[in-house]
Amino acid sequence: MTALSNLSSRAFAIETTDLTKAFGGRNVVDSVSLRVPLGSIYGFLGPNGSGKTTTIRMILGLVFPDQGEISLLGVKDPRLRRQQLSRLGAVVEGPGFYPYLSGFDNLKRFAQIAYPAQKLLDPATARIGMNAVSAALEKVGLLDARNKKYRAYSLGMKQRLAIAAALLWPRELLVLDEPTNGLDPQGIVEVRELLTGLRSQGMTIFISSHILSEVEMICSDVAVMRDGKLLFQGTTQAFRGSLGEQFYLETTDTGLAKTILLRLELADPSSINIEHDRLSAKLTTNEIEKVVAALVNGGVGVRSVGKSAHSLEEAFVNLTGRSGHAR
Amino acid sequence: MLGSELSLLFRRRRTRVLLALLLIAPWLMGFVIFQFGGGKGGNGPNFVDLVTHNAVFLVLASVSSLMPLLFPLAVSLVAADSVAGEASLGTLRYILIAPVSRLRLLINKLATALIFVVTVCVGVAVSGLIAGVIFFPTGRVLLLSGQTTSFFHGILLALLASLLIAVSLVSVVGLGLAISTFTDVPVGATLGTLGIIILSEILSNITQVRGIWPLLPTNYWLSFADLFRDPISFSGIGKDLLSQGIWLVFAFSLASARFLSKDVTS
Repeated sequence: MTALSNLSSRAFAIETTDLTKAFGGRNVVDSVSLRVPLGSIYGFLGPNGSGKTTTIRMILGLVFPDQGEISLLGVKDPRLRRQQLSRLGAVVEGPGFYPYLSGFDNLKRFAQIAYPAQKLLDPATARIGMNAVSAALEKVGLLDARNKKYRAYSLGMKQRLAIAAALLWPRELLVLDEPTNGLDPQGIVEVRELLTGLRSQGMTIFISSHILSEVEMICSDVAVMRDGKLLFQGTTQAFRGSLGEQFYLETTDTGLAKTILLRLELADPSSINIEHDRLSAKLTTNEIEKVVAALVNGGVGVRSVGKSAHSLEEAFVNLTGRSGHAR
Repeated sequence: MLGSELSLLFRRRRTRVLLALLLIAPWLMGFVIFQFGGGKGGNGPNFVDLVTHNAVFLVLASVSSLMPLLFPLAVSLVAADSVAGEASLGTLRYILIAPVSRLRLLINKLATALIFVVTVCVGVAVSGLIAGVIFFPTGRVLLLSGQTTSFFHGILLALLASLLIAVSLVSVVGLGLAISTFTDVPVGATLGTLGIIILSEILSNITQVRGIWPLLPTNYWLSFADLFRDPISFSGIGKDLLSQGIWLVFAFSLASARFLSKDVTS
């Protein structure tokens, strides 16, 4: 049993079991079991306030869970958590730097304080020269602004400096909480390219967002949180599929059509949506001809029928609720 | 890590301004006394009226006038900033995931604040000595017990007194650090620390509560004056060292108990 669970945890960069945390008597995170496959780009989705950040803080050892276990890069023991942190880089809830230091001096400070832990991990790469600070700044396009005080940075530059700090050393895992907040579209594209490049070097990337579209393009896996609970976890493809296909029907009598679909349990009741003479629904069967036959037999004329074009965004909004998505 | 903490502290403009103001204080005082004379002081070991006789007493006059408010203010600004300041900047979470152990962070913050205290006290003493030599006579130093001693010995005693004052401020450092782990607002932690010190000073003037005087962190603060007796009376100084040591251990235990189990949500 132990050998088996060790084996299984090795395939995951992050694995949590029934992670639970209450603040003020309310479960902010409720029995969340994440499985982040090694080598994946894992999109951690959910509206603001859904418990994403608290989950991330527990993974990083900033917040102590009330219940549950966390396995980080195959190591479960909380006493070894700090050592494991040397193997990952993270951006949590926006950048945090000293406003009175330059971008370069900020990174230098973090390189200095991380040095002892880094030396335990790998003495060879621990001694990070100022070249490495410059290299990290160059990766995010801040080399020209390195001597500017942090307080003079734009929001986008601050965000990029945080990503640079996470890349000071070669990492196995990157944990990024809303990394594109405050970036312009050009910046978002650059971060996306950077992450895709890092993944191709074998890095696992865990990225949280409340905006699905920015995750949809690059993520191999997604998880969706709402009100502290994990609603979905799986491959991006499975997530698209989990919605089921939405069909639309143009009929002579949408009301009767609805009654028939419900009586024969051909459609998911909550998915039925009627606009004028057009009814759309998530069908419980793939055999659309049977649905059409049933409607015609029931006296409903079917003018046209087809699949609705669907984006992941709709699936996401349906899953998490519109109110939560609004910002 | 200590080097990084120290450079962070001393490269900050706020720290430099604070230090500069404190170092100027003996010059201001020296200049005023040089112009208008020492006059008669109030109660307690008042060195102001002795300043015109010897440069060494400018050091003592400066530190004893900075002692009740400005030294505790400067120290609590730095000590209370140690955790709360990082929390308010959002750097605390990045320090912890760098990773730096929480205990190691606390120890380094404590060490940094202690070095700051020594820097301030010795800095003011040296600054006061230079100002004293410029404004006032040098020569044999009259002790509080009536004898005289050489100027060189007087200087040594004054520097020793400044170190004793630094030690007397250790309780402020500890309290500042402890309070700093309870809030993400550095100003709140500074005011809280300063409030406790001022309360302690008020209580030490109320004879009805004489029974708790030995427990107050500020109770033996003026014991450094005993250095200027011959023979030196160590009873007050010893009690000060013990009291400061106990306050530091208590405050650091409180700080680590709090910080090591704290959910960092800043």
